[in-house]
Order: sequence, then structure tokens, then C-alpha cells
Amino acid sequence: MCLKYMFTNYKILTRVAFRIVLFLLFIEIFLRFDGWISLVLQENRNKSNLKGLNTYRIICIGDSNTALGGDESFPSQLDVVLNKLDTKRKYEVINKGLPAADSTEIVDNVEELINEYKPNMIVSMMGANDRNDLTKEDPVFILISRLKVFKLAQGVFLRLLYFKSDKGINQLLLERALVQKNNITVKKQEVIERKAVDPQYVKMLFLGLKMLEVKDYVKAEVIFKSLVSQDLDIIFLDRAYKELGNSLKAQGKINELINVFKYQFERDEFSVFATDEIRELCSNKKAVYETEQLLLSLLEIKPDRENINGLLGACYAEWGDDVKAEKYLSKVREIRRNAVNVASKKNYLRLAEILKKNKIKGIFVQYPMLSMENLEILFNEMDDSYDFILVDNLENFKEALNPEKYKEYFSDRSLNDRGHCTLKGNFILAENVAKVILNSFK
Amino acid sequence: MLFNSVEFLIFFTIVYSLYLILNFKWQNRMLLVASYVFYGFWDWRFLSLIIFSTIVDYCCGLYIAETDDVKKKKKLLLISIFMNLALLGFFKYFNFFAGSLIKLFSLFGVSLKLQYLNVILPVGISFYTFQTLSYTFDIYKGQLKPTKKFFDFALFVAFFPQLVAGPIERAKCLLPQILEPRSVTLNKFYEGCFLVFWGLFEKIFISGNLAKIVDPVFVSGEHKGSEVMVALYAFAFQILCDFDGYSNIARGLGKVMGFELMINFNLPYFATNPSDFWKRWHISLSTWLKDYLYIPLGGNKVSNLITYRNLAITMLLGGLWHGAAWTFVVWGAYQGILLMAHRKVSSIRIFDFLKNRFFIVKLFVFFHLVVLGWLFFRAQNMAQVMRMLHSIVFSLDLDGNTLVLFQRFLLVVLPLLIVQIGQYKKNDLMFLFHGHWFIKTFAYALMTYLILGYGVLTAEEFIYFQF
Repeated sequence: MCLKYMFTNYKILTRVAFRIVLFLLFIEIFLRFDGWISLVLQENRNKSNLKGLNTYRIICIGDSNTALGGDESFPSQLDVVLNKLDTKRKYEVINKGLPAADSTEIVDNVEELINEYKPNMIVSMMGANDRNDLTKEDPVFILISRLKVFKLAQGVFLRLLYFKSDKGINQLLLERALVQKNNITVKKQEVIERKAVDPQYVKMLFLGLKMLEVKDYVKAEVIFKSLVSQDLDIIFLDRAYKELGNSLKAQGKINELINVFKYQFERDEFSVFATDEIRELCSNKKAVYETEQLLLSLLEIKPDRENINGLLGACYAEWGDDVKAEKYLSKVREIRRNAVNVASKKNYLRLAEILKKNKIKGIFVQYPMLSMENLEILFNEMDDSYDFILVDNLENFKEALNPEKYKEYFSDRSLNDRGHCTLKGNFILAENVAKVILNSFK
Repeated sequence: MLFNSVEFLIFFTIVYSLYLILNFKWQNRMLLVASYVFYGFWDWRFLSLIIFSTIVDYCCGLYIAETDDVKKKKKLLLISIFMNLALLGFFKYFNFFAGSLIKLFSLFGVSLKLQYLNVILPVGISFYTFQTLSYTFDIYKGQLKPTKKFFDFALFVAFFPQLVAGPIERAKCLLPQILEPRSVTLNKFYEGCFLVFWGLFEKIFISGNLAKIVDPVFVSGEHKGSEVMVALYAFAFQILCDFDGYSNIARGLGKVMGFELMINFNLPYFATNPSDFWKRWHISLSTWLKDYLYIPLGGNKVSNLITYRNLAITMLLGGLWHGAAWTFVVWGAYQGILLMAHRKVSSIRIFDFLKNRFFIVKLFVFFHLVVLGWLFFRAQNMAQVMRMLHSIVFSLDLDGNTLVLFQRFLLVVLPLLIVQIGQYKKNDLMFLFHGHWFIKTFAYALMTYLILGYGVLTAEEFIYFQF
């Protein structure tokens, strides 16, 4: 009824439309004003924090996760923690977080900050606000997506969508930004149920290890083979397979060894043992056919496995088949391109470049509760001449996975760039980063 | 289902779409089903209580109107009262009275063995029992004709917008609106939306944020007097916004469907004396108590002493209505004493010069008296009341932290104060709605921003649900 009435009254319709636009404009102004106020307050805090010339100066750059929280923010707490843990040196942490900024905006400011503050170290936590496909979007959409009102609406929509979830709007936005826009299908954390291991099997494992030690590989092989045929706890089974691999390798039973690799790659996509061993086999040009078959069969099941493609490419290169090597290596590059957030990667590289040029140490922090892979993947192609350290925050926020505990770490009232870490969450973040910083001096 | 939940948003969207499509007859049936679904969402077992109450009063109403025998009429009315109060007494007050009796006897060294009941308080029971009671009362007094349409009567009892926390509607007002077709106009729709929005703002932004100031103070044992003061100021506005917010949402929801529900709060903190306050605070309850308790007791048409007695009874029971605890009884007594004192003072000639003068002073003084009353209301027990009063009087200790707390309180309450001053000056509760479109748009945007940015969106129950 209302709709019919409205459609027959063109005037009313335009008036309503005008008011809606005005309404959104007001909200945009409020959001920006709010951001501006918090920046002014932050600048005041920074000035009162400047302690003098003989201090180790750290600048924290990032988005709202860094910027907001006042004395409870993660940089403020980092200042306190560092000065408490290391009394020999004086630390001064400057918060230069920009609410709602994407990595382009953040990195754009870095050189200016370096000139102004002459810091010894820069700590960054950024990328949450990046859009992956910036180049493909049409300019109108980019403009709209830069509006804070748009983000707010997105957040509200997500909150409605996940209304049963305990997460705040900001947390939902962040997860979406990092997981969906990066195009990375984050593996669901496999829940490994651990079974109690029969003491008899433990004894067998130790016996097998002893056999390896005394180089009785035949006996070791028998023991580990009988172990892997049992219904065992998965972690225990992995260990048994690894040792079986070692005893087979020592005897040169390569065909059987390759079966062990197969098991390991099926269990764990990034099995370090299998990867290293296969590399060695390839460079020694041993069991070329079997290795090739194994890797191809793995790719048949899942063609997009970056490490297997890379391994196969590298092996072909070792075996002298450059055409095939290029085929698989280009596939790897393609997978990486798709998986990586273009904007984040570009800006992280820019940041690393700036830091290298200015000889400043960089600490790149991953957001709490997000997998390290998402960050590591950005630096895949970089050499060792860059001086930066990545900081993982998955383990220390593990407890927050529990919905009961969640609220202790993350504030729930959040939207429009309110920080999502609580005092406690920021403290844990600060403590972790502080430890990494102090370790880096050793 | 709470008004500030996504479940309710989905629920109401469906109900309202159906409401607009269906014709009058089916509208009422659909609303009845929706109301039962809404109520059953808490606990479907509660439905039996509301249906029981509905049947009792439906029958009593019909029989009272049918018979001419005054004695029989009275008997039927008493049955209705007894049934409803028994329900209320059993579910709400049994444990309270049992506990109090045990304590009383233990004072004399007698240990009384009474079984406590393991019942939960059915949501809104105090509201709908009073609402159905008013129906039989009015029929008894000959002011209302009973309805024969059972389902319509059932809808009157269970109408979901005001079912769980009022306003306590009178049959005289609500029943005719159920029996006759209603019209939904665009203006009513706008007004209703505004009321819902304003109510949500009051609940989510103001009340939610004030709760964060109030709760820590009342949970913790040791506090400075100044902190207690700020917490009490904050609670005064928290409970106002919580309850007024709910009433506004209820009225708004009614309005978009063409129903007019009564105004439940009319700027209570602009009252300058207790009698004025009770004309502004929880109007549907205070007029109920006046019409069905105070006046039948004799009201003020009797000797002074009996009037005071009537006031005392009304306010004590009014206090107890709010909750089964001695703190509520004390709060009722306190309000009763204020009313009696005001009555006494205004009957003395010397104080005549006070009339119509010193508005601000009177407002200030009376507001603080009300705030003091909220201490009884909010405290967990009388020991806490005494501790807090002691700290206010003997260790006020104003320091920086308290000032920050007070600042936060002022910031949260500021939008409400601005609107209320406007409402008072213009003598129009819908003053914001009737304002210039530019200001209105600005206000809508600001409220949206504050709700989304700073609102407390956790599913917290409305305070008054427990009554």
C-alpha cells in the first residue's frame, strides 16, 4: 500500500530519496569526525610520550587495530611491556595507526614518518582493509567502497547474517576482508582427536629408534612397518611413518620410501620431511620415474597444490627438462597470484623496500587469530637482504576461539573502526610483539 | 524474543507482511497466533498460564454482565481476582513469602520447614494479569460490555507488542480497537517507525551504556560515595530509558498496525513533587493502582488518616508488584512516605508561597529524592543499601576517576536531555518527529551512528521483564 502510494507520488519519492542521501551523508560525516577526534587524541599521547634522544624509538603503523584504544591500545601497552621487560634500554613507542586505512594509505605515510621521527624500528599490522581486485574495479565502485558508510552497511549486513555468532561487526569485517578478499581458502583447522597410545607401541617405537641408532635398519624397518599397520593415534602414526622412511632411506629402498612420502603428503600438504627428501632425491637424480609418478598422482587429486607443483617444477629442472619445469613453475606463480592480495603484497613489498633503504628494522605482525600463511605468502619471492621479522598471533589467542572467552579478548560493541581487541587482547598482542623484538636483539 | 534482537526483526517482518495482506478477520487470528508464538519463544509452558488467565476472565466477564444479582456479581469478580492473584502469587511471590516466613520464625528460635518451589518467573505475568483484571473490574463497575468473541479477547490479553512489559492497557481502550477494523495510514506508519527507532535508541545506546557505569558499582562490594552517586544518577536514566524505550517500541509497533497504545512515560524527571511524578512515571500502572486499588479503598474522599492508610497500602503493594524482594517493598514504602509528606506539606497554608515558584529548585530537590529511591530499587539487599548510604554520607572522596565516570554519564545522557527539554518546552512528546525535516534527518543519522557505533548490542533483557 505504502509503495503504491509512493510510486504514484513522484514528489514524495524524490523527497524520500534526497533525505536518504542526506542521512547517509550525515553518518559519513559523523564517522569521519570520530576518526579525526581519535587521531588528535593519539597525536597528543604521542607528544607526551616523547622521552628524548637516547631512546629506542618504535613506530607502530596500521589500521584501527593499532590506532584505537587510547592507553589500552596495543602500541601503548607495547611501550609499557618493553620498558618493563628490558630495563637496560629506554623504549618509546609511537602510535601512528590510521583508523580504517588500507595498506596503500598506511605505506604512503611511512617515509614522512621516518623523516619526522627517525625511528629505530617500525611495527606494522595492516592489510585488513585491502581490496584484492582494486585494478579490475570501476572507479565509481572504488569511490563507494572507500565511503565509511558503505563499510558500516557491510558490517551491519554481516552481523545480521551471522546473528548467532558472538563476534563483533568489526571482527566479521576483518575476517571477511582477510579470508574472502584474499581468495585464500583457509583450511579448516583439523580437529585431531588424540587417542591414548598403548604402552606396548611406545616400547616398540623406542626399540625401533634404538635399532636406527645402532644402524640395524632391517630390524628397524620391520618394527616400524608393524607399527604403521596398527590403529594408532595420528601423531604417533606420523612419527612411525617418518622413522620408517628413515630406515628405508638408509637401506636405499627408494620405491617403498616413495610410498611413505605419499602417505605423508596426504596427511599434511606441507610435510617438511617428504619435501626435503624428495628434493634430495631429485638433485641426486634417483628414482626419477617413481618420484615423477608420485607427484603427478598427487596433482591429479588436487591440481592447485602450490608446493607440489613447485616441487615437480624444481625436480624437472634438476632432471634437465626445462619445458616441463617452466610449465609447473608458471603454474605456481599463477596459484600465488590468485592467492595473494595484490594490494597487500604490493604494499608490504614497498614497506620492506623503504625499510631496507632507510636501514630500519621491520616487525610485520599478523592479526590475532589469523593464520600466518596469509602473511608469509606475501613474501614468498623475497631474498634475505631485507631485515624484517614476521610475528604470529595464532597460538597466543587460541583461548579466544572459545565463545565464552571470546569477549575477554575482543570487544563486542565494535563498529565504525572501534578497536576490536580489549585491554587484555591488546596486552597479549603487545607482550608477544615485545618478546619478538627483544629476541631480535640477541 | 527481545525487541532488540534479529529474531524479532525476522518475526515482525513476517507478521507485518501478513498483516498488510490479510483482511480484518484473519488479521486478528494471525495476530493471536503471532502473540502466542512470541510468548512461547521464552518457554512454551508459559502459554498455559496466559490461556488459563484468558479463559477465567472471559467467562467471569460474561457471567458478571449477565446476572443482575449484585451479590453474585461480587462473587464472580472475587473469583477472577482470586484466580489471577493466585497465579501471580504462586509463580512470583511464593518463594519470597516462604523465605520471609522462615526468617521471621527463626527470629523467635523456631525453625520452620517450608519447601521452596523450583519455578521460574513467567515473563510479563504481572502485566497481563493486571490487564485482564481491569477487564472484569470494568465490567463489574458497568463501564464496559463484555465481548463474546473469545479469540479477540484472547488477543487483547496476549497482544504481543505490549505483552511482556506493558503498557498495561485497559480493556476500554484496546478491546474496541481489536473488535473494529483499523486503518494503517502513511502518517501512522511514519510515527510508528519513529517511536520504534527512538525506543531502540533509548534501549541500545543510552540504557546499554549506562548499565556499564551502573553494574560494576553495584556488583563490587567496596566503593567510594562519589562513585555510588554517579551510579545512582546513571541508574535513574538507565531505568527510564530501558522502560520508556520498551514502551515506545510497543507503541510504535502498535501504531504501524493501526493500534493506539497509551503513553506510559511523560517526562517523569520533570516532576516537581511525588504526586506529579506518579502522573508521569509508568502511567499505565499508576492509574491502574489508582482506579482498582486506591479508589475502591476510599481514595482521598475519606478522613485524612484513612487517606494516608490508602496511600500506604497502594504504594506498598505497588512496590511489591515490581519484584518479590524486600528492597522493592522498601522502595514502595519510601515513595508512599514521599506522597504522604507532600500531601501534608501542601495542606499547610504557610507553604502556599511555594506554589508555582522555584521550579528549578523543586525539580532539583525532587529529582534527588527520586534518585535516592532508586538506590532501594537497584540494590541487591538492604545491607548493600546501608553500606552505600554510609559511603555517600561519610566518604564521598571525589577524584579524577569519578569525574571521568561522570563525564561519560553526561555524554551518554546528553542526547536524551536535549530531546526531553524540547519535549517539555514544546509540550509535545513527538516534538522531534514534528520538527524540521533537516533536523529530523540529522537526528536520525546521529542516532543510527550512535546505536551502531556505540550501542550495547548484546541481547540484554529489558529490566522490567522481571516484574
